[in-house]
Amino acid sequence: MSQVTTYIWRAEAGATSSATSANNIYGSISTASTSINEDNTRTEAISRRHLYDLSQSPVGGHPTFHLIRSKSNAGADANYNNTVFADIAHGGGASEAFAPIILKPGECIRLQGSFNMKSCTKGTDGGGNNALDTDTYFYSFFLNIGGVLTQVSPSFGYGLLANSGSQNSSYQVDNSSFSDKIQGKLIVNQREAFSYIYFNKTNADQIITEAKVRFRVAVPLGGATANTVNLKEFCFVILGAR
Amino acid sequence: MSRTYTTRTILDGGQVKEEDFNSEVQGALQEFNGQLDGHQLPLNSITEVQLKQPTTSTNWSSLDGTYSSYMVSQGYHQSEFTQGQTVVKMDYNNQLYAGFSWIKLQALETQLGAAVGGAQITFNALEGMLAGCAVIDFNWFSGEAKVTNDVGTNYFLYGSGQVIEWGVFVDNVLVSKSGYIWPRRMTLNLPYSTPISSKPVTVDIRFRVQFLDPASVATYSEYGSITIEALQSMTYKGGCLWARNEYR
Repeated sequence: MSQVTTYIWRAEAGATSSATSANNIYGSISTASTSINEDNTRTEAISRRHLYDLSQSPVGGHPTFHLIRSKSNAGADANYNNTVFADIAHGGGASEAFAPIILKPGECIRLQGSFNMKSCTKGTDGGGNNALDTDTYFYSFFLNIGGVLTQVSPSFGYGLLANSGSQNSSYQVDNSSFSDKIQGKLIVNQREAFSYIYFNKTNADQIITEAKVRFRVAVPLGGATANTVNLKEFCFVILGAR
Repeated sequence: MSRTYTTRTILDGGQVKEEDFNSEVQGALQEFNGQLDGHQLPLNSITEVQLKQPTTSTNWSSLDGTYSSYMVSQGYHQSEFTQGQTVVKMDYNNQLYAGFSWIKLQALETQLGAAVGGAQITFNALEGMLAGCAVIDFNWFSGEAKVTNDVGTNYFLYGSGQVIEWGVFVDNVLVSKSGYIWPRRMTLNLPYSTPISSKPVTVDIRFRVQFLDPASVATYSEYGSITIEALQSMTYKGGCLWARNEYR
């Protein structure tokens, strides 16, 4: 037994009280206390007995993963014109290293980035091509997984021109756009935001030690040189979930 | 109920009303018999090491690329798209276009035979809140036209005044939209949040665009002879759609 089911003795007005009747209730509790079981738990409540104690697993095998990290920068800026993804190094860098975490199958990391693209210097035209023929630039999230820096998200692209993708220089001088801030025919000085969720979709644990936002500009066509983008303030947030 | 405490003190030789005794005893008994709450749990009795691992699911992966992770107190669901060989692009002549009305991005991917992903997620929701984000990398291209008259040849972006708008729908209900966006290439981060009941749910991205009829553009003849060199177009370049289902 556990619950006390024979306790009902109700004191009634005018009745002669009985020490035995009153005390029996406490005696029943005393007896039932020696065999407390799940009946003493509200059915919809959760307790340790409902759970699998993962701390009993081998060392390192239990989940230790719950993580919130952020990195922000309010003032510094720098120019970037790499055509392959490279680190964003200014203002302390848009990267965050942490003690190794075990990302078990099905667990995920949420990544959020927000950057101020301050300005752009157009590359040099040449070879019959214009630097703005390829006017796009990209951000992407990277994680260091098992010692290997890996691009985990798609590339998130932006264009400098209202008619991004045009390869006819006659059209690239048109700066018409009703909503965007156009400076020198380029859409610059804007806040850009993007987010991603990385799942461990494998069947094995993954060791994550670092998260980054990296940046690149589009590869210019032959003869032209790459555009240079100036990045300023940013905020980078990493959240673990399980 | 939470902890019980003595509310009616019984004194030796005093008069006892029945509720003085009964309510005191009932309080203690209810607590003993299991009517407990957080006050009875030892502090830190349950920590993260006791929580069960997520259960993953790819039941709808072939439909829309959904990868689901059902966790103890929440679920995460995601689908993503990286541009492959098939370009996900539509223009005025596409059969899905019928004026400024919502078009499913998933339908465009399917129509073009591209790999599905990033446009829709399907999963079993539990009652609570649904919060997530659509991340959409797209190019809303203005279109290009050439005007030739006796002055010479000039070029203009004939669709520069036309807009695109993106929205997120939960079971066909619009829960978030971007507002109008004029021609450009950008990545849109479109958050959404909505209550949800326990049921299979579909979240999808839709867009609506203002395509100008190329035939009507070519009739702006007072400026000269107009030739459309490139049609207005919307190209989906990639992105992801994710949802967090926080259980009630």
